[in-house]
Amino acid sequence: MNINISKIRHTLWVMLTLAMVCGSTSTAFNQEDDSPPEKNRARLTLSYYNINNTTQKLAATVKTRVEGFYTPVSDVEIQFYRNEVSEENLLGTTATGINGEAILEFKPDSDTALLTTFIAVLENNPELEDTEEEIEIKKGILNMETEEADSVRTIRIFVGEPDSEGNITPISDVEVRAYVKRLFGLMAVTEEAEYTDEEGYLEAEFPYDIPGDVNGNLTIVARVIDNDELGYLEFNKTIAWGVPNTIDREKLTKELWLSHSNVPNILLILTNILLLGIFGLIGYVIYQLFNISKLGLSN
Amino acid sequence: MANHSTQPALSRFDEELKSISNDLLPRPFGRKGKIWTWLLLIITAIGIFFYIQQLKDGLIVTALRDYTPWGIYISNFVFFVAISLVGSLISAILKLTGASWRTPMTRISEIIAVAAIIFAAITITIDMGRPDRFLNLFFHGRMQSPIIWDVIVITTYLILSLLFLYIPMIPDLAYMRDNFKNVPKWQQKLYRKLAINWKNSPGQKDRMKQIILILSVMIIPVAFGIHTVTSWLFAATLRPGWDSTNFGPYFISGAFVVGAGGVIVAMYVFWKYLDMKKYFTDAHFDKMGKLLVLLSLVYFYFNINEYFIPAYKLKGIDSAHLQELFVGSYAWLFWSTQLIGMIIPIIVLLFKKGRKPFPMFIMSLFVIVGAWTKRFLIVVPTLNHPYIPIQRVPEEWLHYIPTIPEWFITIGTLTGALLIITLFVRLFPVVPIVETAEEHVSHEEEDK
Repeated sequence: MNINISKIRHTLWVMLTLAMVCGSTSTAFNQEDDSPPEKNRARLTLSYYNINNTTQKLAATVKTRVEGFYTPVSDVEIQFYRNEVSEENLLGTTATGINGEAILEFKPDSDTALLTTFIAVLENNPELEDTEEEIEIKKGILNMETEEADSVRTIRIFVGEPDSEGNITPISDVEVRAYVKRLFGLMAVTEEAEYTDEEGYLEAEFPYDIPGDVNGNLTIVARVIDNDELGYLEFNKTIAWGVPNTIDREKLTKELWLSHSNVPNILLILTNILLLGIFGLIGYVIYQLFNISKLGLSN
Repeated sequence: MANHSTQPALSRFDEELKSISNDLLPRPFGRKGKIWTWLLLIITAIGIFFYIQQLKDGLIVTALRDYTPWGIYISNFVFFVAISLVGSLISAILKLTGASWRTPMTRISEIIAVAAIIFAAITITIDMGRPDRFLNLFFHGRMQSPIIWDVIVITTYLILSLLFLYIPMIPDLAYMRDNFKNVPKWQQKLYRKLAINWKNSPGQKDRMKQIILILSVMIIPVAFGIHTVTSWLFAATLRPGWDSTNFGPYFISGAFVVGAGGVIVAMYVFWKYLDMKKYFTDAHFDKMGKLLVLLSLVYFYFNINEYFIPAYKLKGIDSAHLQELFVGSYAWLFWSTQLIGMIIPIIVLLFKKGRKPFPMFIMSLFVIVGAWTKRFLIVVPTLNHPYIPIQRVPEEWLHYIPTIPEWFITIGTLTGALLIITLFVRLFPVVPIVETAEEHVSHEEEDK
């Protein structure tokens, strides 16, 4: 058998070359795979809340586009800063929840400035691009007075701002709404699009027929919603202006929260008669089984 | 019961008893039987494993959330309660109406009823996040609550079904005590204890006849009660799809359909694999087929009532619920359930050829599967349409897709019920021996 050495050598060279090409291509592909994955663009929004002029909150919402829709993203860490992004101005860090919202509550006594810039920063997230959002908030005051005269109940909501000397200046043309707290949300008691007057006040008549708790207490909530300069302001006041909601437990028979001691007598009697009848007969059947057994022994 | 007080009748009865006992006495399982039993044991064990996980971690391992707190567990519970009604249908209703052809099916129907009702109770406990609080239902239960009515009526029906299974079996147990010697000692002891000194004496027979009659009459209202009360768990609310005065009879008619289907499947399995062709004849299948058609037509009528009138009115939230069922995300399940679980079996079983054992078996399987999915359709879509608006909740809460633990636990309860039936078949005769012998002798005497 003749073996052509040069042909074999040629074939080996070709195979080696192919292997090198394939190897380098595959390395190139692997290198491509090793590159960091592309990050999604995040949409970050920031809001400021002041409740009862005592509690301040910052809320940042993170969303990203998923299949064409902006969808909340959870577990994203957000840093909140006051005025500028630096270590000493860091207010705190918190992560977004399942609704994509990260909320930071901070103490108002550390805030004496009349105009503050709040900054929310999203960075170093493995899936989202770095981004930041800032809002400029003017220090605002929201108060509410309640007054009852000549059988008319009135709420007076005031919006103002302090100056550098601590004097309060009214702010006019601010949209304000008033609500009453209910079990699952807020019920509006003022019309939409009502604004403060030149003295910073909004007056509204309060209805007489809103149910309160057992003592007639209800909570009135005044709000400035998403104002460009003031952010969200809220003032809560509890007052006995509701209709006392007394529950006559003697009269209730079907409610889920009743105890078993309030069973209507007729239901109790009927069900017990039925149960006695049925279990009496079952008892009789079992008694007869004993008799059958005894008869077998005597036989 | 046949009168076999005279000597020739007695000997004929003994001959008949001996002849049929060879066919009907329980036998060790063959290869297929053993594979079947092991399969049930393994699947049930997997179900128990996942239930232990649920006990440890809580209901978070399920897909049950704020909007769908009742998922496949409660669907399964309603299914079990439904199929358990067959005990009263075959043993009581057919007995009181004088349908003597029901004899071979009585014990099957009763063991199906007992197994189903035991697992109905277990399933309810499985659905509880804190099963250790189950006894609170008895200590602090309120008689105003349909849940308490359900607990009471399920307990009562379980006791009655056990008695109804056991008492007519006493003569067979005595026969096995006296004649079935090639079995382990524990088995002999079991038969001896359960036979409670039965000697087939006239006094014993009179007493038994009396208590069976009492049970037959008593079990019917309790059986109606169990499924009516189960329907009231839903109908006593104002929710779309449940707020219906039709629910009691609708549930009962559906229960009889699936119960009859369950008996036919069991009949077919025993007919084919336990070689009982002499006892489950074509005539039995034919009669059960006709009964199933009748029951399905009644159920069909209630279905029309249940869906047509609300669909005609399409009021408020009912409209959203019905559209979801008819053309929405549940449409494929809804229409296939109506077709497979009701319409196709009715059409096939109307024909004599359709009432042969094999087509009957297939149609009954359709009925059972359709009955299970129907319970799912009753329970789940309504929960997805609450009156309080759904706001700011995670996406996954809006759609109920059962988790793997939920599926395995549910399948485990189904195999558990089948395991009870299988073990029963291994230890006790599925067709009454003494009653069948008495009937054969009695028919022979009538023929003479």
